[in-house]
Amino acid sequence: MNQFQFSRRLVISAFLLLVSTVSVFSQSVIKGTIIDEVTKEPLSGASIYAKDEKVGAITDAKGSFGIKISKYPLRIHISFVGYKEKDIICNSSEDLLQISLAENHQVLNDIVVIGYGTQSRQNVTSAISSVKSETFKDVPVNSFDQVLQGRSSGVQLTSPSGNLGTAPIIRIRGVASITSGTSPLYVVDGIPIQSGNLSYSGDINVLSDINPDDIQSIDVLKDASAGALYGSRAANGVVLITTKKGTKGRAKVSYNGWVGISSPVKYYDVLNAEQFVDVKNEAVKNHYGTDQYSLSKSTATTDGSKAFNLGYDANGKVIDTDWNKYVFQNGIQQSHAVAVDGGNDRVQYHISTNYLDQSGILKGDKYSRLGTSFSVDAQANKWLKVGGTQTISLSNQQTADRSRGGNITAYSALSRLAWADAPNIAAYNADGTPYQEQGHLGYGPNTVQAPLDNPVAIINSKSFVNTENIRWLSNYYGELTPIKNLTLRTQYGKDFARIEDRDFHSPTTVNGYSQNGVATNVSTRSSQYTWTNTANYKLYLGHNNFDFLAGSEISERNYKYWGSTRSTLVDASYNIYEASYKNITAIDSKISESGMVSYLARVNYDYDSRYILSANYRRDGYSALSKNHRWGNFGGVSGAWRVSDEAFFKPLKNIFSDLKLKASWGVVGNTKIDDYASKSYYSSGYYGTDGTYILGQVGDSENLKWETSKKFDAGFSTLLWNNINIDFDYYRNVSSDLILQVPVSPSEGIPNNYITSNAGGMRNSGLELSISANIINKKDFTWYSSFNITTNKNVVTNLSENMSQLITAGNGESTNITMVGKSIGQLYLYPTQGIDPATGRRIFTGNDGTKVLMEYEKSNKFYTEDGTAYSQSNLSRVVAGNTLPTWYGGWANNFKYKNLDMSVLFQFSGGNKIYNGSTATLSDVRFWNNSVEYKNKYWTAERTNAKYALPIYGDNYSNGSALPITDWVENGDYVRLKNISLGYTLDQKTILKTLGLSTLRIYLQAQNLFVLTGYSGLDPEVLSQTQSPNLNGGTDHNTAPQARTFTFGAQITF
Amino acid sequence: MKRIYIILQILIATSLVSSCDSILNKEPVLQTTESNVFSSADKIKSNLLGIYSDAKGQIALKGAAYTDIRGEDVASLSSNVFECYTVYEMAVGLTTTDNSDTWSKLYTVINESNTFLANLDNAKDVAGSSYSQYVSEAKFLRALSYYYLNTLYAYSYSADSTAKSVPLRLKAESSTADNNLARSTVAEVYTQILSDLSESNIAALPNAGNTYDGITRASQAAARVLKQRVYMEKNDWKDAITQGEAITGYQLLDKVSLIFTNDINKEVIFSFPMSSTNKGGDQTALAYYYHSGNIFILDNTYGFLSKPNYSLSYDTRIKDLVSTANSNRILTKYTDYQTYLDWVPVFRYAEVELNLAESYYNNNQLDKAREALKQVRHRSIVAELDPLDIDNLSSSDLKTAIYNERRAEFVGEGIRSLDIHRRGENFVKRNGTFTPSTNGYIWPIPTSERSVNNLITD
Repeated sequence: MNQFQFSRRLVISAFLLLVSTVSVFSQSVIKGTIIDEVTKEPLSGASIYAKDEKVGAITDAKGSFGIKISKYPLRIHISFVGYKEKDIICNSSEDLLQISLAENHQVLNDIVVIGYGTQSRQNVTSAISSVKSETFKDVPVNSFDQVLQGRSSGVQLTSPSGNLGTAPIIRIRGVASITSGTSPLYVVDGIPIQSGNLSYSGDINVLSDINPDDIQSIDVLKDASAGALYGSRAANGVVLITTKKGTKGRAKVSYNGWVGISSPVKYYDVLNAEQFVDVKNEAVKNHYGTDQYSLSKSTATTDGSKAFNLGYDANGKVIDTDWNKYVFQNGIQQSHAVAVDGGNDRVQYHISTNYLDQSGILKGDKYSRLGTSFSVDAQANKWLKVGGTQTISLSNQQTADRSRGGNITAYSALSRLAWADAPNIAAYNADGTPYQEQGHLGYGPNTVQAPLDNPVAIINSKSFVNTENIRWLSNYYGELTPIKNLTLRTQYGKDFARIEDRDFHSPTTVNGYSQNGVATNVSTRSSQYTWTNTANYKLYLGHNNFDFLAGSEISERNYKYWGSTRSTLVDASYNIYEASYKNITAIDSKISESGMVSYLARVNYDYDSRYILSANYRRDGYSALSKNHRWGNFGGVSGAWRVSDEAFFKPLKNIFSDLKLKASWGVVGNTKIDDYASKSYYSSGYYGTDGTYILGQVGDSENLKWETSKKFDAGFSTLLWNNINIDFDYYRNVSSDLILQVPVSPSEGIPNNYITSNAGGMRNSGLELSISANIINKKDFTWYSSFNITTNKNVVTNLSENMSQLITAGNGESTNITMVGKSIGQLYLYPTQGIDPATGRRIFTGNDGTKVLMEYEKSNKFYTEDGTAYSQSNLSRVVAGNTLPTWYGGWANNFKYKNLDMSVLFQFSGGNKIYNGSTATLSDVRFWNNSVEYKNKYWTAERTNAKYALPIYGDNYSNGSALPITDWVENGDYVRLKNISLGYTLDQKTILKTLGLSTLRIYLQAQNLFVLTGYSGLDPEVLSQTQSPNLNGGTDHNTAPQARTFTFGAQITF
Repeated sequence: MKRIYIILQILIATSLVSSCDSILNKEPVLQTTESNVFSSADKIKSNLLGIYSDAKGQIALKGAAYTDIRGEDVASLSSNVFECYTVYEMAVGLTTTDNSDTWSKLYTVINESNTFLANLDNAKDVAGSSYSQYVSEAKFLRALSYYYLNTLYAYSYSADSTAKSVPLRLKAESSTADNNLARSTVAEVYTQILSDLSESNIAALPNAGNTYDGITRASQAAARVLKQRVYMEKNDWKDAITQGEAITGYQLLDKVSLIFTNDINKEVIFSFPMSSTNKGGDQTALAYYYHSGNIFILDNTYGFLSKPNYSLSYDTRIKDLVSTANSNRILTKYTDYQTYLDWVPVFRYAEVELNLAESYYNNNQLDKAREALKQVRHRSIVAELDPLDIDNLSSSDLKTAIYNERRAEFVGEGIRSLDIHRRGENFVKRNGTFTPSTNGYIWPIPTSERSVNNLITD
């Protein structure tokens, strides 16, 4: 429950108290019902207030109320969250019989959750986007962060792949740090929680421990003024989650469930066995003059005398395996959530439980969650309120794809197997076991080994990573109201996660073969608590309204893991850690602790909501920084002027119903650095049988200080013709003292070759625009539309003295560079100019501009056009494009026609480049399979206008495998139909009554129905290197396609 | 109201006075400080062993694979860059991971040694009687690292002693202020190595073999073999002979295979130990490369196995240490592909003998050369059955025989490419011929160094 609702209830309780104590000279009690103007549904919990008599009431579950009045005419004020308020003059009891309220799509009067409190949107001076649960109720996601895409201005979200449960990459107004964390701070009901992947071997998103059904609203704090109360942690923005709370009235039971199916949006079309054998043999012939050739096997294969041969099964049929079939699947998903909420004047509760079960589009991908949430708010007496929320979830994620986390060259990267495994090798042996040779897919009928895994061997042997996560989010508060308008609040929150990873490699897989089975179990415990104490005082002096807040906060985090690896199974039929193994080795354990102490203060002031000012200050001490510089001061100021309330504005008032100008400035910091970043220390280990101590890290223990971001925001929000809301902001965020691993000469021999120091600088600037309106608002048909677009320009302004550029490698490939004057993580590739039509060779560009041809079969590999050997060291990479989207946004539409409702969300993003590395995999001229596109577009004497080089067997250079090339850079622009849903609400009272239901809505939903793009890969929304998404962004290499999901769901209240 | 003020005061008091210090002073739990390490004799020893461990991490794992796969006796079937492919292809460039890793790891050992020496100087009392041995051990490790750097990143001394080699880092480094340092010459680096291996430093080392400590840490003999190699690099045969002859207390075992089945023995002079907590893994351990017949194989065409006198079926080195897997001939010196616990010998007595054989030969002491050669060869081939008549070989045939014997004896022990480089010969292997002027014959100093150290020039 948010603060506002809470205080409103207090006010109402106060009224009711008043009503009961005021001496009664009652004439009559009049009764009435309040309903939704469009749906005619009764509205439960709406408030009715008779101003003149100072009496009020709240509607019950049937929308009914009764109110005692003494005289007519009577002015009655009716209000309900999410609806337009209404004032009516009541002349007789008839007038109150049925009152309809219209839904309020203008968010102007909404309540906005801000740090340590709430604020009416009309008084907001800072940049905040809100997403209400209503807008994502049909969206089948396992974590709430996924719904921010397209729905919230300023928030850029990338789902890196179709891997189930991978955390999206979220960037709020660009990227505010170079190597420190850039994900926002997530705060649930006032308590900061842990986010990201807390697992050791798995790739999980711990935000999925919160059931999206339990969320009431998501508010994103984007500028410093909004975020500064989270001071040191607000550089990347703050996402405030408010969970659903109980409401007064009869207990309400609701059910929300869906079933769905998902499938890959696109597959790569790869060669069949015959095409594969032809293409490879041609490459062998081009290299060795003949395809009657053995590549590495010293004995000829029994299937034929060529380098590559067709294989035949027991029935004499040609073996032709489409590995796509053994890697991808249709994923089935279901979710069920039941919530009970209710309460009386003193106690309100909300209990929910949910079960989610998903299988992904990659075989082996599974996720399940059983969660329960319980919240209670209780008014203990006049001056004390207590409450809290407990969320407990048990989730289990299983994955088979080892490319998760960015390991693009893993032998068992599943998508890669679908594309690269030889199609002339059978998936199964005659006896039904997976075909494999010493763990590898093997030779089959070929004379060279396919060294990757057989995906069937991985799946059948359950060579998975299973991550079981027990999460307990616990939050308790007590609130004292000793005198009117003064609230003292203490809140303690604990976020506890216990995670067990079970990682197994069967002897039938590459990773498990040599050791005859390897199982690793790791237990991780990650716990943090936050204790906040605040005092809030509201002061009303005529038109002047003040809201003061002061407080302190402490928090500590403790993260540790331990585990071990067992290898060499005694009985290879087992696939669990607990079985008997010959060997056991402990993994390196970890204990990491951090702590923070903070003091905070804020003043909000407004004059009739016309002149609004807000100032806040926070002082944080953080344990990870050097002793001398661990305290930082943060804060911000903001102001707004409601021009439309000025007398001189009157003439324009019929156009501009409301116009507010606003600006803010503030300083925030970033704590997403290593807990011991500033320390120098010796680490222990072993040499043979003896223990060792060795220099483990050299830290800047005297000087390491806060990363800070100075954020400026200016803009306006306006309401035109009482219908069209427009929000416009310009933002500029200057980050400095960014903590970098400043490289030292490797010859200095300092551990890891860096010292963590404050060196970097970065600037983000851009515009944000949101427009929303009720385009059609008829009785039977409504169309509400909202559109947002954000631009972002990111510039790295400083690295360090001895580092003009930061060339970064992801897991398996280096494709990026970060340099001063350009945005972070530029593509950095070898310059190429396509295929030389005369020779069929890839043209590389030498440092001096020389055209260099790649001739793989010759010893020097690189030659100029006249045949002179060209040194490979004269080939250097060039900056080849920006990887951060420079514009993005969404367009949401909600239609209602009688009982039908439809929502359509388009989401778009662009301005970035993508290095399409999967093309390199699919055109590699080694033992790997290729795409049909490759077969149709490689150079031959007849086909000189080619995309791919003349096939020379073994060539891993010409098409980008060994050296990533600029020929594979493409634009990343796209528009996606992200969600479309169609719902039907049953309103035949008799049927509902027979069924014992109060509402029933059923819907169909489709996610990722289509994407418009020029990108030739599987999907332009892709990010292979998820562990360093900014420094190594913009690459698409062996990454799984996105999923398209169809769901059918029902929402029922009883 | 009074009650309220009391509550208010309690609230503010509890929140503000909460113990800030314990919250903000978080020292690493599992690590310790330098001053703590140098406050105890045990921990000082642990620090020294830590340097050995890091030296092992480079020299005994991939490093040992590199120096073989550069030569012609071992071929690689893997085209995976994480499996020494670039090294095998002689295509190591400025940004090759094998290059930057090797550079960085060897210099890490050097800085650890330098830092240890600096700290030890201030903790003489704590180290007590072990002080001078520890100094010599750290200098031995520094010398060993510079030896590998000088043979990978520079032309051989015999080719050009004034050629630019690597920067000589001789003091403890811990800041960004000392990034720049120019390259020294090949000769200067050897001078430094010889100074670290001075006779007085050697004297401080223990003179003991055949014990765990005796072969896993520097001994007088280990320092002398390294010194012997350095003198041979400098074609200073007389001094090489002096060093070789000074090594006593070791002997050839009955069979070479015993060296690899019993890690502690009378032949091994210096060996890197493995145990479950510190060992190689996939793509680093030698057994990973050699056992399957899919990655490293013995080359039948270019390798010594193509030579009749070096592929005799009754040669116990062939009988015991060469096998077949995946239709290829493989070396079985390192066979523990399941747990990777094979130790990696760096120096053994057979090398002393064959180093002497080569040095005697070059010093025109042919009879002594023949004798040393026979010592090694006739351990594995019964003299009467040996088709090679060592006593009657011409001078040039004797030289060839010594050269070939080194290949047959030490294959898989990281010596072959060092010999080729030292003699300034071409690499003639399955995938091409690489002359000293070809790219890849020596490794370029990696970009990771050049981009920070502004004084590196070609």
